[in-house]
Amino acid sequence: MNVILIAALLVFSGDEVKTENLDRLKTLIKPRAEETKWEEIPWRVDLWQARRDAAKAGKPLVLWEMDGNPMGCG
Amino acid sequence: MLGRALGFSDPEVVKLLKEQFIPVVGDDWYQRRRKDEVGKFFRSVVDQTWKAGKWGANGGDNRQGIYCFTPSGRMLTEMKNIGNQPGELRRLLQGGVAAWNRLPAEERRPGAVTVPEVAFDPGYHRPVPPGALVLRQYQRGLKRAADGTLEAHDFSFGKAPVWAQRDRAWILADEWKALVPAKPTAGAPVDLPAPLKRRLLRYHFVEALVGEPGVWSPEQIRSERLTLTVESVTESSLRYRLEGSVVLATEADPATARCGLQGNLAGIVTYDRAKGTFTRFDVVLVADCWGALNSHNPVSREGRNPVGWAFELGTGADVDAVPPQGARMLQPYLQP
Repeated sequence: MNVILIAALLVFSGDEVKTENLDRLKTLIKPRAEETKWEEIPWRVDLWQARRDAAKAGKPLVLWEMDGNPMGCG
Repeated sequence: MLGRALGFSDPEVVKLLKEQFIPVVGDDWYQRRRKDEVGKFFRSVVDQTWKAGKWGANGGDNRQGIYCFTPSGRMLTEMKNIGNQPGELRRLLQGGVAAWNRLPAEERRPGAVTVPEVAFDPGYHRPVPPGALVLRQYQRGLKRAADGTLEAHDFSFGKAPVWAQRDRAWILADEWKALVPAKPTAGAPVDLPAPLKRRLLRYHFVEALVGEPGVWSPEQIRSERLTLTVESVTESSLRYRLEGSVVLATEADPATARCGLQGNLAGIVTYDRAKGTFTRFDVVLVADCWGALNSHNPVSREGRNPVGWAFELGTGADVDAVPPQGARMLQPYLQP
């Protein structure tokens, strides 16, 4: 019984991280559709350029400010 | 990323921001410290709120929040950290639109404000280094199913769902050029430049599902094996395979270390010989992680849990101009 259990662990929890599994693992890890809706917003990443764009368009700005960039680790 | 983006996923919020505003993101760590016109403008906006003053020599208090203001810098409305509250965010934006519309038409017209060219404070401005490759980095909490296969682990931290975390990694021009052998041969190993290897290990292989990542010290790299091999060679392209394993831990014995990471990685990299550019840089790391490396960040999940990292080439989109989190301290990041 123990031999079977150990063998199963080796097969399934052993090295799943192989190049042939790369696409599956990438899909598993990357943001899912429901996690990317906020990225439909045309976020600028440079406050000064955003200010220029706002002045040109005649629109107000919204700044989403985090300690850690919201488009990164924020 | 915590579910702070939840509010910005609301369809009405998305519509308002697309149609009524110029939306911009900012890392407060840089913005409150900048000694240039950008920092001056930012401080002038914030100083119209309850967060006014207290700037201090090094930026002072953090100014996280959501701010609506005019191109001239006149505050319309602001709130702190409501990115995970769609209703509050909708009300904030609607209030911002109403305040904007109350301004005189002359102040709102396109071109009413002239924004000059300015020089950026090099201490707190992080453009992509010339010629560097930008890799997008994603990180997600995983779990093992009953049969041992890996699957996503959807969990919350506080009341916020924990989504895939994002970052970017830089590969400097001299580093990626060193990956291209003058006379490539299938099966031949390629040495990863030491700074690149250390940058990945110390700054990017760090669990940061619910906070800002820490940095592993050099001695906390307990073991590492990153093997890049030329898999195939044609007249037009090279294809590489990356394999490896890594153990990072705060103490020498990973079994008892306060914080650690132990896992395996694999990757496929392709290079276009005619164009002289990399066309694919896919790398995945799956590691059991425990503890929190950054002492002021919480532990995301109790115990040892699998976490997945995925890296891929950026496309040159705006988002790829956001610097790696680790590049706040630029020189140590570039030469780790």
